Amino acid sequence: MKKTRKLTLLGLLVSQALVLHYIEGFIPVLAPGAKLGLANIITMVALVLFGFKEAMAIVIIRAVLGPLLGGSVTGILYSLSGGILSGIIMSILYQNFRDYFSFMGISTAGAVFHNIGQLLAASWIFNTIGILYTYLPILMVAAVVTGYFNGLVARYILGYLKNKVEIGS
Amino acid sequence: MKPKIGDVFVYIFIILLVGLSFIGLKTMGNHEGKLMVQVELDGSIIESVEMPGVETERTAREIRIDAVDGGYNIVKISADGVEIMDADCPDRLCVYSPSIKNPGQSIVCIPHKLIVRIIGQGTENEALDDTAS
Amino acid sequence: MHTKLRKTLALSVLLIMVLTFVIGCTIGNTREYNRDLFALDTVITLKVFGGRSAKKALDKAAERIREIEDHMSPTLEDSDVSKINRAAGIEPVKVHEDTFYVIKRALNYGKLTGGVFDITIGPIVNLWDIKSEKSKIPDENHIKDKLSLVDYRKVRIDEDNMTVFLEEKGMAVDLGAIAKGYAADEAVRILMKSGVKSALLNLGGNVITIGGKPDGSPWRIGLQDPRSQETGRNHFAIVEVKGATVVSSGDYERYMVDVYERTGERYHHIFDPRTGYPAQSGLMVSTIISASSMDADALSTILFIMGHEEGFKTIEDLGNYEAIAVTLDKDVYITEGLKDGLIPSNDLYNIIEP
Repeated sequence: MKKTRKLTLLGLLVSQALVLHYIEGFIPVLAPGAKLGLANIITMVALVLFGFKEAMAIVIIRAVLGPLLGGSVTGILYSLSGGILSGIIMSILYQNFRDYFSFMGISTAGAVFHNIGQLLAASWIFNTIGILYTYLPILMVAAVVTGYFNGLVARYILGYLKNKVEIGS
Repeated sequence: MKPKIGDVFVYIFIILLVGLSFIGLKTMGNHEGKLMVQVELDGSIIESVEMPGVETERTAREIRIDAVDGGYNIVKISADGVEIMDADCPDRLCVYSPSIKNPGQSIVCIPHKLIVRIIGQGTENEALDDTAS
Repeated sequence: MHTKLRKTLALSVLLIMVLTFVIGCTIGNTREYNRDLFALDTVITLKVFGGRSAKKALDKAAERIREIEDHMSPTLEDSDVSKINRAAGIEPVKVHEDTFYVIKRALNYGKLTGGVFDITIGPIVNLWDIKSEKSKIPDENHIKDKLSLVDYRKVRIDEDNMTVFLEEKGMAVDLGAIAKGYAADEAVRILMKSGVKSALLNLGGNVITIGGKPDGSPWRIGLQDPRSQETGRNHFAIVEVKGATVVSSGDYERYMVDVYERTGERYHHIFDPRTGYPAQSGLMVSTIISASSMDADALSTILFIMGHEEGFKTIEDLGNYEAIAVTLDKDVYITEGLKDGLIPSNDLYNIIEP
């Protein structure tokens, strides 16, 4: 794929991730921290279309810019730690074990580690491990639902893009 | 759409995590909604213990605080409240301070730069921000 | 074509970054910063809400409080107050402008009240040396002796040279009734100059607020029950304030506990300069709510010494101050402006409508 074309596509993905992140702010949540993680869809798409490096770039840019759009600076820390951890896990699963996992499975694993990353950051900031135990169960249940949904969406998007966009590497 | 073998592993992993965090909660005790007694000496927190509930009255305990100048304060923590039993500061105002048991309350020993305060969300304490005294 | 596209892309990314930074920095970047310090012979807690600049402001405010302590502490050898007292009857002492300003204001309060507020109370304070235990009530003749040294009119201040002179040997100034108030006003000035819009300060029981809480609602301040040991209650009432200071003076903070337990007589730390004895005006506690903490500090002492009737008259004549006076019978007198402002929280106290 040509460089310009790749750059444009990446730019598009970043802005989509940002928009999804922003829209998510308006959707009410069941429990504090239990968000839909819609931006994870984009991470998955980038991972499949481009690879680990590009997906991580999108994650980092989104994690830094997203909280600035609407949120606090400490939000950057949360989304960075969550995003990077889940990005690494999803990359490993997709690149090495893709035959054994569906998109929904990879996405769910990503959601799980996104939450773990965020909770680790929170327990570091608040200097307490208790937060981990109290929030983990509810966030895990939420991750099953949102992870499945996000994986489904990512699969449809990728199925569509594979026909429309000429993807070479 | 049948879930693949890896997906099953993901779900097993989740169940394991949930179980582990419940075990963690049990072993460390849930501090949510409980009152904590915080002992601050010269600006740094040196002690943070849970305020015992009524049922654990027998766990009443005394903590000896060694102040910077070599002096001491004995802090007694029980279900009835927190008070300073003894101290060798010159004015001993802290020893005569009434015992405290609501969040936001504190006992201070100025000569020893000691603050003992109760923190946490209280229901009885009419959600006050501070007390003028 | 390609370079143009790249340029546009780079520019728009830059634009988005700048925009988001501006938005991100103006909204939702409020954190709570806390500081405890031991100064001015008491414990001071500062709670400030704001961005990173609020933390810097907090440091500056704490530093300023320390500075004021250095000038006005009676226990520090090098403080202005120690120097003035050592040079009593000998020579005028050049002082820092903080000290000069506070003494000048204090003398004004002396004039206003005909000596009910008197910073030359030092010899009496030292004679009584109020302690919780092993305390001794001084001999009447000793009190008379020392009382002759208490007279605010014998403080000579020279505005041009910034000097303070106590005319008689043995005289001593004690700024305890006003220094905390001044320190609070200075801390507030520094915080507000740095853009802090929400803060809660407590200087040894004097509560000072900047603005309301971060969510805009007023601060809820409990008023210490002066007999909490007997009643088992914490507060006798609650006030809600925004950008105001709440200062109390009472007989319960420092008193001879052992004497009280033996005789039931409460010898406390607020002295009446007219008698040389702890003030006995029939009040347990007096509270002032105002914008300036130094005024509130002085006026709460004045109200406590004068008692509710004379005190209220003095305060109402000045205007701009609200006051609460609690009598030994647990009757709570309030000024007109607090009619709707005082929230009852303790049925042992009887609030009397003005």
